[in-house]
Amino acid sequence: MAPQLIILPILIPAFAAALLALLRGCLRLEKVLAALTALGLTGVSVWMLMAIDGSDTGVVGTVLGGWEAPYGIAMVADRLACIMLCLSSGVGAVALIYTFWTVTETQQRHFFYPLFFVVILGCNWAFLSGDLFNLFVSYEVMLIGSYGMMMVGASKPQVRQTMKYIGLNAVGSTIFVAAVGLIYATTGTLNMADLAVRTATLEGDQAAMVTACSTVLLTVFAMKTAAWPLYFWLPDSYPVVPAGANGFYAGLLTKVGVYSLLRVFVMVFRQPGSEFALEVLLVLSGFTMLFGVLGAMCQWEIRRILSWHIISQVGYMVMGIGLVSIANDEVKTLAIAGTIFYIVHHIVVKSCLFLVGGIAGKVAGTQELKKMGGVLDMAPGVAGLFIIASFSLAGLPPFSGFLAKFVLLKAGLAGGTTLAYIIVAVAIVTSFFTLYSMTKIWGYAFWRNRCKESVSRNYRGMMVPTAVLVVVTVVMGVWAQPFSQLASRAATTVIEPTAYIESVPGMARERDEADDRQAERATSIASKPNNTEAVR
Amino acid sequence: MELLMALVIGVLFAAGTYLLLRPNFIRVVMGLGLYSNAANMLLIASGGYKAIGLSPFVTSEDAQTSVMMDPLPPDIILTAIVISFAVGALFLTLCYRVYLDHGTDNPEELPNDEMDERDSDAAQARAQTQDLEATKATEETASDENEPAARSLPDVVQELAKDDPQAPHEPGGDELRPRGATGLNGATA
Repeated sequence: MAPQLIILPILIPAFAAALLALLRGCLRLEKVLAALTALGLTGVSVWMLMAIDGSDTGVVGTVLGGWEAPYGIAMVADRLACIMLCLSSGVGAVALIYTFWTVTETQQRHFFYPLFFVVILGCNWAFLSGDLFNLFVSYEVMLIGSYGMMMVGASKPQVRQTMKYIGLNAVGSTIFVAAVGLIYATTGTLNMADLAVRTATLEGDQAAMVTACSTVLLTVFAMKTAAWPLYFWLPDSYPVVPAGANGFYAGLLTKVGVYSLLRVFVMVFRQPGSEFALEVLLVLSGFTMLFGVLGAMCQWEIRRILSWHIISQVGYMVMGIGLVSIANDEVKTLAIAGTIFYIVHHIVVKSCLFLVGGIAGKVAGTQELKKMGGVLDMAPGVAGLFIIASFSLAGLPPFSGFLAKFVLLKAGLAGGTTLAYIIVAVAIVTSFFTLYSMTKIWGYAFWRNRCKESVSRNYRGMMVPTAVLVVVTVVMGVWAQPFSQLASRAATTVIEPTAYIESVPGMARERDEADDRQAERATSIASKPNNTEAVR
Repeated sequence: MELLMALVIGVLFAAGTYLLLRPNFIRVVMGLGLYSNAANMLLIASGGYKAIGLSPFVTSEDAQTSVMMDPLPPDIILTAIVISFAVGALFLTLCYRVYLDHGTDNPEELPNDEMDERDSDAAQARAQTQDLEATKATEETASDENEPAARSLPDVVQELAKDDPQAPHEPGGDELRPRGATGLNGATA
């Protein structure tokens, strides 16, 4: 494939959003066009994954405007990025079709569908970005879209919650810019491939400086990921997102943070001492899992329970990233492959649970557990979808959750340090609590006596997109080999970024000159302390 | 020069943090403004600012030895300013909207029921909880209308409420109490 084509997953939603905004008021046409675009986007993403996975290096990179690295803005699609693209486009399409039954006319007139595509655009952009500042811009695009979608219709609780969400994210974005400035000041580049080359040759004080700056970035990503102790914004804000769209939010938005952690802290920062940030992540993961699940256990509303579970599930993925701090190649590959598998599993299952929760709420008339009941009686199909998805979330075989957790726990046990053992123990305990919490939803909402007599039948259509996600989690569990092998192949590019670096035009030459320039920079720093940037 | 820049950035971040922690929307907006200015100053510093009185984009007064400063940090600052301006404007609009909705500019005075239901429903529920008589009446009519199978529901809820330490133990108050009273909202408020 031509390298320039990798920006298609950014261009398609951008044009779709603009076109849909112009079509405001043509309700039916807007829905048809949105669905077709989302499905087309999924097709393009899957085709890209096939093409890139089949190529020799497994990475395709391009620079916008033809300016070679490190000056041009790099866009790189490796297997990990393509997997994420497939997920964001695919789950986006599913959630979008689901919203046909939930979104009101008012919400649609308030640019619901254009905003949906802006969020997809931001996510896809973040996955393809090969430059730290570009990553910041893509985060902003995604966030601005998500602000709009969160308060579409502008009811009082929505506006209140969105304001908190904006305030927190505005602070996060500022810290992101500051971190970018610090990293640029210490390394002289923001291109991820170039950073990977340059940080690998650093030593002594400079390496320590980069590690210090990277922890500022860690704070930002931890906040976007909702890792402990920066998770408090999530359970308040997600329940106000319109039904259907909240499935997409729950699946994708925090995972953009996990993806950034994986990309930046595993692949980009390679200086001696870079394990520090990963060790911090490993410790945080234990707290994240435990606090998330304990928070979920004391909630009484389906969407809130599920929102808290996002936090505890994020803990597992962060645990996988943290395990990379153990200097053992086998453990590293296993941990990263497990994390990638977990991300795929989690996005599918969590979105699915939010969508099922929406249907159950529609059947029972509320999502408040204490007022619900009898959904099993009224809508057995919905109960079936829920039980599969919730078993998968808790990690019972034969669903995808079991394998995802198994690989991560195996990596943790193979790691063999005391900290890894403790985190593995926490992960197992968290799993049990997750099962308890899912049983609570099952017992109250599904199994109890009927809460009302007449059942509206118009939930049937919503089950189709939800069932697609359930099928994916079953297939990923039963026929796991292709998925786990793909995850392993994706992990190798992240751990050994040679192919990634060489795919960016101009970077191969850049890397060959890196040693020379390193020496030159060292002398220039010694002679003219303030002039490092001018030399570049 | 480095020391001066470091001090300015530090003071801006400190003042911004102070304002962000004030219980007043307008101060929060101002705090965010100071934050973004501090971050932009940091970017200027990362581009290698030379000396007081010198044009920011050259490295020395002397045209012979002067080199252009690295253009990337100003470029990044420009983008960051645009973004923070847009988000700041949106945030300010929302503050005004929240003020119109609730008549307060103090985030601590905002209602705590963060569920999906419209405020009117929540207010109704709150009024019902306050008035126990009304609550009982509502419950009676509710159970009269239901089938025998469904009649056990309030009892079940009652039993569960006893196990739930956060639930108030008033009769019939459980179902109709404002939703925000359980869980996270209570814990974080």
